[in-house]
Amino acid sequence: MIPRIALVGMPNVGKTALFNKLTGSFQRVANFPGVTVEKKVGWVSENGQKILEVVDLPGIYSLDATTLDEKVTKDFLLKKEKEATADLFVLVLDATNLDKSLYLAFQLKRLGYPLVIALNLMDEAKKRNFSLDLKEFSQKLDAVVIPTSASTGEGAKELIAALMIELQKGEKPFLEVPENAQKVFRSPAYVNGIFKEIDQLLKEVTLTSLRPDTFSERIDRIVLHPFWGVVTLFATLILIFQTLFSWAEPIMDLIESMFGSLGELASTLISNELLRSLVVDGIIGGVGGVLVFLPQIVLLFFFIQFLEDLGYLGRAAFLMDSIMRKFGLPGKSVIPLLSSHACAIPGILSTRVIDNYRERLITMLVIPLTTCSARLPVYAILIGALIPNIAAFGIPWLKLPGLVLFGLYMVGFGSALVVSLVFKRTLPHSSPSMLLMELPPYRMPKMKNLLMVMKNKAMIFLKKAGGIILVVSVIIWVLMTFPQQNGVTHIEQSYAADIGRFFEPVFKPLGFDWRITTALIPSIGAREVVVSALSMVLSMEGTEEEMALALVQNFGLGTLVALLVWFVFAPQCISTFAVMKRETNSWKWPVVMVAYTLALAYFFAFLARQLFNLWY
Amino acid sequence: MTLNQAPLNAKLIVHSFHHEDLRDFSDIESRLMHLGFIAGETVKITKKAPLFKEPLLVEVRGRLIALSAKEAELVDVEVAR
Repeated sequence: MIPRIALVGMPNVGKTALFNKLTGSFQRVANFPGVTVEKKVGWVSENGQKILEVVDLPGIYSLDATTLDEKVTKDFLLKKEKEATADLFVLVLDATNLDKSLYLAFQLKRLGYPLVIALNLMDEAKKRNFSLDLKEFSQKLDAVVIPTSASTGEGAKELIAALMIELQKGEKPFLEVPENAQKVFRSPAYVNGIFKEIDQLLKEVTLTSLRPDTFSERIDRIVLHPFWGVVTLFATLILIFQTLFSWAEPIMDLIESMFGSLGELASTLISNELLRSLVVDGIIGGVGGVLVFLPQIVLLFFFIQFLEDLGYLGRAAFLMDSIMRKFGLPGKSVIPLLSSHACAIPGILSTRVIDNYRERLITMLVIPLTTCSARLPVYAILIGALIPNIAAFGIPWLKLPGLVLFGLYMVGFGSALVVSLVFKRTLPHSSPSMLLMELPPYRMPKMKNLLMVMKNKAMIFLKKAGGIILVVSVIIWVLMTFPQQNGVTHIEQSYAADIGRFFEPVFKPLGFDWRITTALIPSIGAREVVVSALSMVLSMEGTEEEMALALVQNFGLGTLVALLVWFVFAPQCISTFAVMKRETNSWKWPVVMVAYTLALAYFFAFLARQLFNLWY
Repeated sequence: MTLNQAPLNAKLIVHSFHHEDLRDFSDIESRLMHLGFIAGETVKITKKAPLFKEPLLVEVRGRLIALSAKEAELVDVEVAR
């Protein structure tokens, strides 16, 4: 058995950076059992041999846990001897803010636990003229204290060496947890006592005191300015949106064309027509359909982690909080909601920035209502069929189709806000929603940390969501391909068409006949596929204009209006469902999501058709 | 007065929590205490968010804490003379 240590500390003390330094790229990300709180595990190796297992626990302000993240850490820490979760705990302190980080140290000390302390960010503290009597400090705390710098790697070796010595003593972590722990932790006398001890200790060990952080203060004068702060925020959001929306596209195109070529290669190699179709359309198409999400996912997490490490994410939340809270959403939901306009997958994955689980859940549930880019090809063809390309309000440069498209975006975002209001009223409260957070000083993000996060997020997506997406792609292929006649597929005789015909009566009020319901089936895989599926069921190929004309001739305007509205609220693609399943750790919430969006789509499509037919 | 009503940039002394009865402290009050909002501590509101004039940004024991008006309402303060 390799000994296991766990890193504990307050938020923003550079704990994760230290974890990365200790473990290198030797790490794995999973969830803590039963909850969707990220658990990072890594290994310290010596001469290619694992010598230590390191767990990075979520940051906590105190042992009196109030959020889900904090509870996970608390449960990990407060264990009786027999159920010990780690062989040793390392408390990470921020040398540039000892006052804050010592709180947890004294809490643990009072519980009688022997401490190994990593005095992190020591280099930064030194730059700000801080020095302390390390010997006195370690004696007073009765702890082994190792100064470290996660950015330069200083002290990492010493820390590991100190840990190995402590581990050899063979004492298991053992905390004497009082029965009424929460009451004790929350009593003013207890809290006051600890702060007094901190003041006392700092007075005794400080040799030269820390220069105040004027740098962060000066930046905040702009970044939190009533006008320039809002400008900065919007510029940041626009940059993220722009990146996801257009700059990710060349990479996505590249992936798609690579899989296209791979498919072509495979079709020249495989002579059996059925096998070829399975490999090319089912498997290669399916894998490509999974991988195509990766550019947006890694780019979004690059930005989010960059802003988080920089210290800006909390500031953005501060600026947006009061507005978003009117809709039951926290300030931090801005980035997930915005990014979901490119794609719901990175959007849902990024809701992890929201600490409160209930608010995170609400954000995830409404994300599918925002207009993701997969809806654009569908909108384009339907708007082309429905809306004449004329100037709106007599303004020559303002074209009606563009205006309608903008309106659809607004309807999507607006309905997301309205629905979150509904969820705010109806979902049960688990933990209180609070903003209450520390805004950390600005720090330059480290590229290595960013790359690590990008890699981890990509792996999680591939492992957890990739499987479901792939399986469904193959199922859809089967439905669209079989049964064959003399080795040839006729879409109108496929299983998909059978299903489409079966549901035809249900969708009659919307004007959807079996051809539309059949075309909707592959759109479960990816929404934009509905366009090519429609051309399949109409058995026609041509330009977008010809396609638009054919749609009008075959289905009539009223039905197309209904179809357009259907796609505003439309049930999500299977990828959204899979990611939702993984991020909520349940089948319940993805099902709720599909159910309510289906209901909205059905209702409004019906309404739109009736109103349209009334007028025309 | 409560913290959310206190003037910007003034030196404030934390008095106590607004609800000084015998009931247990809530999660939010607990978090407030652990962040340094305890009786006798000096704090300062350094910023208010645009538009709704909340959340507030408060300096406590050398760090910046963002808190909403609802949370600030729980803390009783007086202006230091």
